[in-house]
Amino acid sequence: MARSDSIYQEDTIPTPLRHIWLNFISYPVAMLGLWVFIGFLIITLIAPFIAPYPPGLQHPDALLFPPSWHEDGQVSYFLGTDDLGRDILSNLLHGVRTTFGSSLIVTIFAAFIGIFLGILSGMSRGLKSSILNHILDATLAIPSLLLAIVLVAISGQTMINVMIAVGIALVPQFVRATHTAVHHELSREYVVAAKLDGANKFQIFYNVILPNVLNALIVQFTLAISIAIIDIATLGFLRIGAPASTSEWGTMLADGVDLIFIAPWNVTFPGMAIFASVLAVNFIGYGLQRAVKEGLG
Amino acid sequence: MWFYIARRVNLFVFTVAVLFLLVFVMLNALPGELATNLSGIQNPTMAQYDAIVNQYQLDKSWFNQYISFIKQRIHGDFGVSFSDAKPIYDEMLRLLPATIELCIYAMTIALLLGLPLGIIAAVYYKKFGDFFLLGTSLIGYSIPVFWLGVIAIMYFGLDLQWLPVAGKLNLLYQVEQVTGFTLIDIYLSDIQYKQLAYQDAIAHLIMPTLTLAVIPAAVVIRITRTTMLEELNANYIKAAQARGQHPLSVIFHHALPNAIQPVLSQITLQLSTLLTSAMVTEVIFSWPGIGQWLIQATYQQNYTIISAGVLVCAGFVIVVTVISDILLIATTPRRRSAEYGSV
Repeated sequence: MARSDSIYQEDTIPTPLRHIWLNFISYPVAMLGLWVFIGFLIITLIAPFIAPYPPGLQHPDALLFPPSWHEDGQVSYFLGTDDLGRDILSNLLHGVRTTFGSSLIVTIFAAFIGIFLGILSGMSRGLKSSILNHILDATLAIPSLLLAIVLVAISGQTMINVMIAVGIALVPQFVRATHTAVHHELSREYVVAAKLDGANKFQIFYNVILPNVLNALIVQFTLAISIAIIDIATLGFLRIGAPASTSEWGTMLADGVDLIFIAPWNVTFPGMAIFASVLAVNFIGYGLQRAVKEGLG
Repeated sequence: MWFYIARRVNLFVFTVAVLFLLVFVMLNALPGELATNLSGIQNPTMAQYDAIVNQYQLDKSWFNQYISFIKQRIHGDFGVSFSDAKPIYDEMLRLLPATIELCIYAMTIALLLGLPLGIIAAVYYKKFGDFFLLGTSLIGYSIPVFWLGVIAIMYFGLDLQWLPVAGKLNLLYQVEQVTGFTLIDIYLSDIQYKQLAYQDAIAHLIMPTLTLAVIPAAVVIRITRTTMLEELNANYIKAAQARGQHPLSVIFHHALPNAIQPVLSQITLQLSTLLTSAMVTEVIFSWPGIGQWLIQATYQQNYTIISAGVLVCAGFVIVVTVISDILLIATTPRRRSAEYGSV
C-alpha cells in the first residue's frame, strides 16, 4: 500500500479483529470448542442425510433397545431406542437442527434487533435514553424463561412461536450489553476528538465507536447462543416448548424421565448433547473474552 | 448520598410502573375476555361482571384501567385462580417462602464455595489450580439444570436411595406453616420429634439446593477470580508485599475487601437467572414453591396465576436489586460517583 517506502514494510499490523483471532487460536480449549461448534453446524446442515432413520419413525419391534455396546443392543439402533421404538441417534441428529440450529437463528435475529436498539439508546442522552433504560430494567428483571413461557402462552405452542419467544427474551440482554458498551465509549476522548472534527452521529458511531465495541458484542453473542440453547431445551423439558412430536433435545429428555429406571439412556444422551453444545459455545465465549482482554491489554 | 438513594427509589418506582404496564399489555393480549383475565372469575354472573367492570374501570380509557389495575394489585388483590377460584394472594404467600428458602440456601452455598475457590484461582493465576477451577466452573455453568437434577435423582434417589426425591418434608411430621421456611417452622412448632424432623427436612433440601447452587457457584468463581486478579495486580498490593507482609495477610486484608464489592454487586444481576433455574428445579424435585405453581398454571392456561407470577418474580428481582444497590452506595463511597448514580 502507500506504506511501501516505510521501513516497517514487511511488518503488517494486524487489525483488532485479526489480533483477537490470532490470540483466540492459541487457546487449545477455545479451539476445541470451535471445532465442536463447527461439527454441530455441519450436522445441522446435513442431518437428514446422515441420520439412519427419519425423525419420529417408530419401530414397533424394537422398543427400549439399549445402546449397541450393551449385550442386548443392536448396531442398527446405535444409541438405543425409546419406548415408542424411535431411534435415539437419529432423533439426536435431527435435534441438532431443532435445538442447536434454531437457537443460532434466534440469536442472530435477537442480536440484530437488540444491537440496533442498544445503539439507539446508547447514542442518545437525557430523557430518551433514560426512558429506554427504565423499560429495559423492567424487562431484564423478568426472568427470561418466564417471559418466554408467557409469550408461548399468548401465541400458542409451535416451534416458530417458541423461537420467537426465546428471541424476544434475549433481546433485552443484547440491548443492555450494547448500551453499556456504546455509552462507555461515548465519554472517551477520541470520540470527543471525532466530534470536534465535525463528524455527524452516524460517522461517529460507524467509524469511531463500532470498531471498539465489536468485541464486546461478539462475546455477548456467544453468551446469548448458550442461553438460547438452554432456554429452548428447558422449555422443551417443561413441555411448553417444541410440540410433542418434534425431536428436540429437551423434549426427548422429558420423555425419557418417565423411563429413567428401566432405560436411563433415554435421559443420558439428550442431556449430553445439550451439555456438549452449551459447553462448546461457552468455551468459545471464554476464549474470545480472554483473547479480547489480552489482545488489547 | 441521600440524593443517590432518592434517585434509586425514583428509578424503582418507574421500573415497577413499566413492569405493571408490560403485564397489563400481556393480559390484554392473552386470549379470552379481559374481565376474566384480570379477575380470574370464570363465566361471571351479570352482577359479578358489573363489579369487575367497576373494580377495574373497564368502561373507562385504557389509562384508567391501567391505574386501577396497579391499585388492585398493590392492595393485594391478585384475583382468583382460574381452576379452583382460590385467592391468588394467599396462595402466593404460602408458596413464595419455599422458593426464597431454596434460593437463599443455594446462594449461600454458592458463595461459600465460589468465593474461596475464586480466590484460589486468582492466586494461582495461569497455574494448574487456576485452569482446573476455571474449567470446572465452565463445565458447571454449561450443565443444564434439569439434566443435573434428573441425574441426581437417578443416582442418589433411585440407585443409592440415600435421599428423598420429592417434596419438602415427610408427611409424618405435622409442621404448622408459620413463616413458610421449613427449618424455622420446625423450630417454632411443638412436635415431638424435632430432631428427626430436622434431619428429614435437611435430607429433602440437599439435592434441590445443590442442583440449584451449581450455576451460581460457577458464576461466583469466575467473577471472584476476575476481580481478585485486578486487585492483585494493583500497586498497593505490590507495596504491601514489599513491606514484607505475609502473603495470606496481603490476600485477605488488602485485596479481598476491595474485590468483594464488585462481586456482590454482580451477583444481584444473577438473581433473575437464579429464579429461572429455581423454577425448573422446583418442577423436578416437586418442591412446593412458586415456580412449580407457575409451570402448572401454564399447563392449565391459568392466566391470573401466570400474570401474578410474572409480577411477583420480576418485582422480587427489582426490589432485591434496589436494596442491594442502596446498601452498596451506603457502604462504598466510590460508587456514589455520577457514573453510578445515573443510568
